[in-house]
Amino acid sequence: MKPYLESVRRLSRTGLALFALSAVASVVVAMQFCMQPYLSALPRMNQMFSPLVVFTYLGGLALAMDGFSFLNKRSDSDYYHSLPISRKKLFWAVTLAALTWIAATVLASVLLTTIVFTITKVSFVTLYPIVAVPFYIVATMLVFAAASIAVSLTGTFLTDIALAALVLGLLRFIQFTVARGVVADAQIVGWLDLPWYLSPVTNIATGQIAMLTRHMLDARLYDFGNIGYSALLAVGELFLASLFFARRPSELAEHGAKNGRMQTLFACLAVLPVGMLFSSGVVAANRANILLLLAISVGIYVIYQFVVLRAPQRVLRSLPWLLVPLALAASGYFATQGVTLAIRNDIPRLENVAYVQFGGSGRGTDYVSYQQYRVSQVRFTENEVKQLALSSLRDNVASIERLGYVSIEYNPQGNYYSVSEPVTFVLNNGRRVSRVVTFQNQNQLYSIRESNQDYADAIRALPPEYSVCYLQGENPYSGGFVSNKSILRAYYQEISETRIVPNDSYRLYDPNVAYNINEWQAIGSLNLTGYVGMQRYEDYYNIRLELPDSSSAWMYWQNERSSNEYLDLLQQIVDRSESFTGATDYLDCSMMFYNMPMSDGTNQSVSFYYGGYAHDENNYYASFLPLMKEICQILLRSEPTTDPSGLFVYTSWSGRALGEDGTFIGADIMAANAATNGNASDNNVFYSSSGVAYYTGNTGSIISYNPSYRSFTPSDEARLIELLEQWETLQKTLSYSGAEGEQSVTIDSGLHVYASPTPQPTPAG
Amino acid sequence: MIKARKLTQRFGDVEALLNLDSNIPQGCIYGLVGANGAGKSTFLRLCNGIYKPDDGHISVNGGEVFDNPCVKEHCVFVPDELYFLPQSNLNRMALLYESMYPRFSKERFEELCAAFKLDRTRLLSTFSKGMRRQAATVLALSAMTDYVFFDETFDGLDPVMRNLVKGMLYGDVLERGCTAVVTSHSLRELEDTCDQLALLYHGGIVFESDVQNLKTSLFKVQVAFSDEYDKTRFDGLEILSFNKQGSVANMIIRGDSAKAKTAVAAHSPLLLEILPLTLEEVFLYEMEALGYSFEDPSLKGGERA
Repeated sequence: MKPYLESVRRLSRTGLALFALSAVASVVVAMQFCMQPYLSALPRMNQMFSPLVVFTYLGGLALAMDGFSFLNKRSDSDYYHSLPISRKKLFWAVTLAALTWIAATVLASVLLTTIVFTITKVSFVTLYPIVAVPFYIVATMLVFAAASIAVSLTGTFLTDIALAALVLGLLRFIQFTVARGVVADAQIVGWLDLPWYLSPVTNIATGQIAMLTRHMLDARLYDFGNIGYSALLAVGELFLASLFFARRPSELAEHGAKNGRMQTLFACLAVLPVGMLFSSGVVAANRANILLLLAISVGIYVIYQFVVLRAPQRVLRSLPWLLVPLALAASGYFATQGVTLAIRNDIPRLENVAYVQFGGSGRGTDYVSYQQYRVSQVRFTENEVKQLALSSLRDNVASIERLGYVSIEYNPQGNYYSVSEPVTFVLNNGRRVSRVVTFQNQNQLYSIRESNQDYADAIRALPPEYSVCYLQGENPYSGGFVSNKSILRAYYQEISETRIVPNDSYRLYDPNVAYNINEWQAIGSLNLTGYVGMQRYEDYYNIRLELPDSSSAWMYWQNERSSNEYLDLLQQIVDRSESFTGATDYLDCSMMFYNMPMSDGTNQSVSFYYGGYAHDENNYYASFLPLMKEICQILLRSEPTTDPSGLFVYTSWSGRALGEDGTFIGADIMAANAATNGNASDNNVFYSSSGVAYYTGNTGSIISYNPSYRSFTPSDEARLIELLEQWETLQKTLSYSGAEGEQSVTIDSGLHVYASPTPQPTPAG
Repeated sequence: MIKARKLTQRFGDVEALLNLDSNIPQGCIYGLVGANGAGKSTFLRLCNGIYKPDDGHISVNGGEVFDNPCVKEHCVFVPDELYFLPQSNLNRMALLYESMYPRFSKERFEELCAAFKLDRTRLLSTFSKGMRRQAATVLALSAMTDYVFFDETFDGLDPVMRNLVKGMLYGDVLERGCTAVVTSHSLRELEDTCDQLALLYHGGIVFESDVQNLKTSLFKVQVAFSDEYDKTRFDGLEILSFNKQGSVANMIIRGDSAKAKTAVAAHSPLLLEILPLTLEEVFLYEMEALGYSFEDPSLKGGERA
């Protein structure tokens, strides 16, 4: 106990410094994240605890270098070895002391980060702090263990650092290069499909670095399996280090290596990564590259040996050893080729496959959809699914062998897409074979999968309400979250009743379906961000008129938020648009009409634009002015509506115009909305009609911020359709339809059947 | 007791110690003298388990030393190049010693600090070289071990402090039966301190003896006769060196001085004088008798520096 406490005391300077730095950095980083405006994302683990990512390497290395610093000076080393403590006990006393400081630092940092997130009411994955503690302790101890091996084998600061890097990273670098080569060459495996012996994240310390280059590895890095494996590895390395430490001659201090043979070994290890570049596929194995890398290898080896051996004859004598790393590099290249071939040829037989799983094509992204998360857990035991997956895999492999890549015969007339999905074949013996399989026909895959009830449920499942952290970008503590909840509840209710597939990615592709027709008309979207277990999800669901209650709730929510549309100002500016007098006058007006009766008998969403600016010589929209003026009058008479079944409009506009008296139209409103440092005529404040000031460098404008959905009286509605029909005809005449070719479906006022009174769905919430 | 048998230590091609045999009894101050590179520090490091012997073995109180804390807790080592924890003071170092040496005495530590007038709270890095040696000595003596090893420690102390340390060492030897092993280049440093002395030469102990015996076993006889004479006149005496100039001869004789005086007096000399030898002279004559040349630069440089 006493040597341990003494070691804790001895490491206190470095330990306290790291502790304080990590604690401060954790608070600062957490506050930086939590204080962001418009925060609507859940942080990634390494984002939430980024100071600990740095601590992993800095802390592990610094504590090892400090704890065993006496090994680098002969007198200090002699002194410590003269003390009445066995070498192993001394080693473990320092190691446990380092572990104490590491654990204290990690715990404090995690705790402080969690407190900041909790106090500022910012959502985070609650399992992260629980996982972070063992994760970062183990990762840091892995670095410490590597450095311990290094300091036990060498006797100078520089060689300690170099060897620590080699111990920590050399094998992993070789593994990474082979894995990269396999992923690139095999073409049917992704980074997440690699067998455990090639997975770059089993070692979590180097896995963090690998993850920086391959973000999809984030999905696997924090597995408890990896943490457990890394913990065992750390313990194993520490035992190895303790053996080296116990056998370390004191006189090694101040020397790079025990003897010339060790120096040669280090030189060989330094050369190995260069040769391994061929394995990765980053450097093509052609004659020029082979010669170049050979020259670099020889250069590194000879320079290293000259520096440490200082005798040309000894360097020359050691030169044949250079063949060893070169041979290993060549073996690595052929091993990569071998593994690639083995992976390609490893196609399970149908009778051996117990079930298959689909990881989801978005598995490597930062967020996945909730449906993908659910689908990834479904086990497909159906023969038809297994067969399709296996035959597609066989086709893919055959194509690669024939052409060098996966070839998809694209049929432009076809009513399907091809799709690449990660598939895991779980064999009867429990072995898992993961491949990225390209399916020729997405619809066929989706249809077959639907025979699985779990899948059918999974693609219709919505995230549990309690797991939602951000609703329409609002956090649970904001008023916006509560008001948005009415949309969410209506949506959840209707999805459960209708069993409509909420996520478009899981719907069958139909080239004939246009998303602006009848019930497909999309009126808004529902955005949910949250987490289940360690899995973060972010979902966007289109709210279409097929879900009337949800649509109504959306319209209600939108109308509630609508602060001022300034339709009267719109009318005035439209009137002035015939000839703007102000140099910066302009108007941009978009009107989206829903449920417009069309000549083919459908109701469609149709968009109209009217605009202009000062000194516009063409003034294309001049012809539309009479129509627009009348539409403005109708708009002024319109009323907000929550009825998604009738004709309604969503008008957004911005503009600025001088009136007849030479002052800005709506200048009083612009002035009233003025920000602290501007007025309606300055050039650096952009006024919105909601009173929000944007510093965009634009001159002042009026913007209809958050317009409402508006409906019309029966007579106005009838007139409006006529006007828009004329607008469309005029557009055709002027060829401003915006669409290429002849427009076959047009607005047809004759087909409009006005249902009076329109049934008004009860707004949810 | 420290026993070394055929102790051999190599550093690469260099044989620092070769087949060294030694017995260091308990309760004495044992001086080890030798030139630079003779193997003194290596021997002390082997005694303290810093090195593992390449050949042979060394034991303290019957137990092998290397990596054996049970034995090592009886030994404390004050090396020639001192180690202190970075940014530490004496109190901090005392904590280190306390955690390592089970018999470390805080009272003794405070007592010794007071005797040496060392500020326990002052950073050791601000101490002078001599003060640092004192500090290391204080810490070592506070460990209350059975064996204390000083590697050229006295060389950096001023005479007053040297005497103070020696006094403390005597106290420990007498009161606790502690054994001190002290190395030095200079025989004069050890002459009045040690009970036993050994000469280390080219990795082996070539000479080992009790200081009192050494001092009395050899003596110089100055003699003159009126007639012609040579060495043969003194047959029966063990003469290590005979040097005659004119009628006066100087002899280095081993044995009982009184008997020698009587034997020489029997020849009726004109002059007969018995003179004591310095320890350094005794060593040189003994070495010469063993066949080692005074002109050996490694020996000469070390011994006469």
